[in-house]
Amino acid sequence: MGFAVVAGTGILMLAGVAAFGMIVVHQDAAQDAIDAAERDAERREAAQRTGAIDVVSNNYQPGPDILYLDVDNIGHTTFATADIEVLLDGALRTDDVTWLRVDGSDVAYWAPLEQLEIRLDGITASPSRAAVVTGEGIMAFEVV
Amino acid sequence: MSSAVPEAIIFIAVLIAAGGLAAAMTAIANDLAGDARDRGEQRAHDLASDIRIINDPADVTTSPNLVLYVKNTGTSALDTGQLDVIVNGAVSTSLSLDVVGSSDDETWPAGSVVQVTVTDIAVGSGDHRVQATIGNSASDVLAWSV
Repeated sequence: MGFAVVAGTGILMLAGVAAFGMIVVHQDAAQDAIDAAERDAERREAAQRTGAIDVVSNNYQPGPDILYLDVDNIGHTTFATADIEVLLDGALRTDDVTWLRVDGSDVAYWAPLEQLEIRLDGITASPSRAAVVTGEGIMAFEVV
Repeated sequence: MSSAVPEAIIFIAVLIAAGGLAAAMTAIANDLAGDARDRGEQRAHDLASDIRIINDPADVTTSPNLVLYVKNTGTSALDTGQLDVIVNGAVSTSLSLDVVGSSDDETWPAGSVVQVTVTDIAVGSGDHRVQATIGNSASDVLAWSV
């Protein structure tokens, strides 16, 4: 009888330890995922708060149907050039962007105080307005 | 010999009972662990979700239908089926959704834009306010005048 109680108690203790461990491991993994997401969200909010851009010039060439936009990064955020969107007269025209150059170079990131040159091809009429949007949703507008 | 048989029966009975309790305990723990994992994943997904309406407020297409451009500015892919649009306080029940540059209009990758055409709410002249919401996690508002 005594041995049976000891064996039963042992089984229950082992199961208890295993169950507790299972909960702790999953809880810990979930908390790690939340912490990582919170850090990403804080970085994103900081980038949105401190980021700013300004379209400083434009050049429309009617013959070859090309529009150039020069945009300054006047904030404190580095942007990914791949995430840039362009709207002309309210319509999304990112598909017509043929190059994005930062201070003359074809690079992936656009740092503060650098200038982004955007070239759009196939623009058959001079637009009235242009808007440039970063991956963080920061916008700048220009009357062309 | 006569007392050994009942003891063996009791021993086996105790082991069976303990095994059953242990199995129930681990099953409950497994459920709790799964709930914790699901809650964590959902919370992390909510935190990673962010959208922006990127229309030029001075030039919003309203004819024949209101056209919105909504960019996924978060870090996780979203489901376009969870996108709700409220125009001047009215929930649109007829949205045409196009993930720009993708043939899959249901998965909305991070960084990409969804073109939303609102086909059931007319927008005339005056002041307007539109809100785009994705699930319970992110939303943005655009106000403009026509």
